[in-house]
Amino acid sequence: MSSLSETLALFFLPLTLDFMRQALWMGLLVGTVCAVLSCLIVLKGWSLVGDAASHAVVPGIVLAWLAGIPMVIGALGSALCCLLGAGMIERHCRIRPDAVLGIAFTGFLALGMVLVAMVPSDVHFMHILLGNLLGIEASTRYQLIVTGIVVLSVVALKFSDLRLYCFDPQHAQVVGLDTQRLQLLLTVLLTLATVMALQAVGVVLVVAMLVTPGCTAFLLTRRLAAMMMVASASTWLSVFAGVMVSFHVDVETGGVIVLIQAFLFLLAFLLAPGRGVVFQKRRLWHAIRADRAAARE
Amino acid sequence: MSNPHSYDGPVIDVSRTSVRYPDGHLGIQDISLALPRASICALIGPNGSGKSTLCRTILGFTRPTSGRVQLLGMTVRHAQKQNLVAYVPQAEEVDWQFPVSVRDVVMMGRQGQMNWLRIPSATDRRCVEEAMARMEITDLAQRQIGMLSGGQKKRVFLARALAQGSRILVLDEPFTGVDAHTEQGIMALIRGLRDEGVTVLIVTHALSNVPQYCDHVAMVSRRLIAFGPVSTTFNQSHLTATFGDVMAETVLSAVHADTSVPSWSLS
Ligand SMILES: Nc1ncnc2c1ncn2[C@@H]1O[C@H](COP(=O)(O)OP(=O)(O)OP(=O)(O)O)[C@@H](O)[C@H]1O
Ligand SMILES: [Mg+2]
Repeated sequence: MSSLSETLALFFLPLTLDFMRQALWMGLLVGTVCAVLSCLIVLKGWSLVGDAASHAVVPGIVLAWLAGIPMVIGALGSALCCLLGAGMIERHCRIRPDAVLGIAFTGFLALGMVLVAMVPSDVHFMHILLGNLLGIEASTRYQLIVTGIVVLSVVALKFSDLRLYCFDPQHAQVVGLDTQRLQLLLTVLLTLATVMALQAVGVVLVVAMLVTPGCTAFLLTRRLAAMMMVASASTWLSVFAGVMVSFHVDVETGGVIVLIQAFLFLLAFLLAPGRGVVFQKRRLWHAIRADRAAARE
Repeated sequence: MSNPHSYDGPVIDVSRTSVRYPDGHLGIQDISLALPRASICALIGPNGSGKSTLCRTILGFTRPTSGRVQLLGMTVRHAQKQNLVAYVPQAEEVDWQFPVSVRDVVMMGRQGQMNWLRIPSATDRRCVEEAMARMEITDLAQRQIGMLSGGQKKRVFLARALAQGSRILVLDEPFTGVDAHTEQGIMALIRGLRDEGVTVLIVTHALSNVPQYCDHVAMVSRRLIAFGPVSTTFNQSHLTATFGDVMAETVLSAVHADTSVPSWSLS
């Protein structure tokens, strides 16, 4: 009995440590923002845009650090340059949009890598590439908290318009909404979520934070609001587990978080009521058996 | 700015409008139309003749390369901002797996008129329920939109346009893929709207229905072949110019068979 409670105490030890609690809170905030945005991104079919944004922020972050301005502003600036620039090119030539986006964001990432190599070496930028929830500095933390609150409030206030824009932009225009402004708004929100996710999981894995929770929730729900809640819940679970595991076993927090998210998706894919593979196969099998029984009579 | 309720010029005013697509394809050429308040106009022509292009130009989705479109004396964008236009496209290009219910979609018709937080008012709810009842989809209200048949989907988008309560209604082939009962329902509905003062532009391939249901007819084949009241414009020579000889014959004979049914009157 006592050994069980000791094991539990040991497992929850991280929660008694200030810096671990802080990492957990940050992880939950970042996770919620990404989960909510991921629903819109998945439905709009913008996964690649999320990926592009996550790579395109790198030069902006380096330049912001050099210029001494808040990291979020630099990141937002360079990602918007990349996405809007790609949009312009796309409108003026016949190359497919995904290819144009590919050129644009790899170009920006390469620029970022060159800049990183040129500035006096500092541990700073390894955070961007790998992410580290446990090592977020105080100044960055405040930026993230403000950004997170802004993003979540805007999504809450503009929920209905964003949903209509994602579902049927043409109709949005007919009823008098400004679709160009909504597109810009969604792009900015996406970029801000990307900047937040960078801190948790790093450039390479950001796209997972922006896609996986939305896909998992899509399989489990039939309303957008519910989808956002389920996506958030799945992200909280993976952030919590990720932080705990990475404390006990010495592995990257970001890696564990994304791994658990992928696992949850797989579970939903197999077992989701209604849309899951197992459920559908079983329903089909029952129906066929009933048909055969009816034919035999 | 003119008040849409006291405005008495042409409601849809297309003047000398041409559209070329970015790849140089000609969509429509030099089309002029003026539709009065409270009327139904059929837009007919063979496949690829520019009917959808004309609709999309009236809705502001494609910009005219020359000429201009005015709705109730305003620019298209201005009319849209005032919620004066509703549109049902030829094919809905939406993601049918999108997590919204039938009622959510119909409510989207009210979006431009809700407060800035988009919380539906009692009026919004009433319009939505009425529109769903008129299109007979009330019992589907909770369904996710992907779980409907093709004709039911069509009725959902008609209900959305209806819920909008606009002054102008543009329908691009609303009858493809719906059963006869629904077609009758839609036509009765459109005439009801006409009597309430709505101007309706309707693209259709069901030519034999045109004299029965419509006040005006516009025939296009890239250019405008003919435009005017059905009684004078819907005749052999114009149909021949639009569709060719054989078609015109069959259509007119079908119409004459139809007109024995005393269910229509030109107001
Ligand atoms: N996006 C586009 N790009 C280039 N050309 C186009 C485009 N859309 C339509 N066109 C061309 O414009 C012409 C008119 O097309 P439109 O869709 O308006 O025809 P329609 O009268 O609606 O035909 P249908 O009865 O088949 O619906 C066609 O010849 C078509 O090839
Ligand atoms: Mg068409």
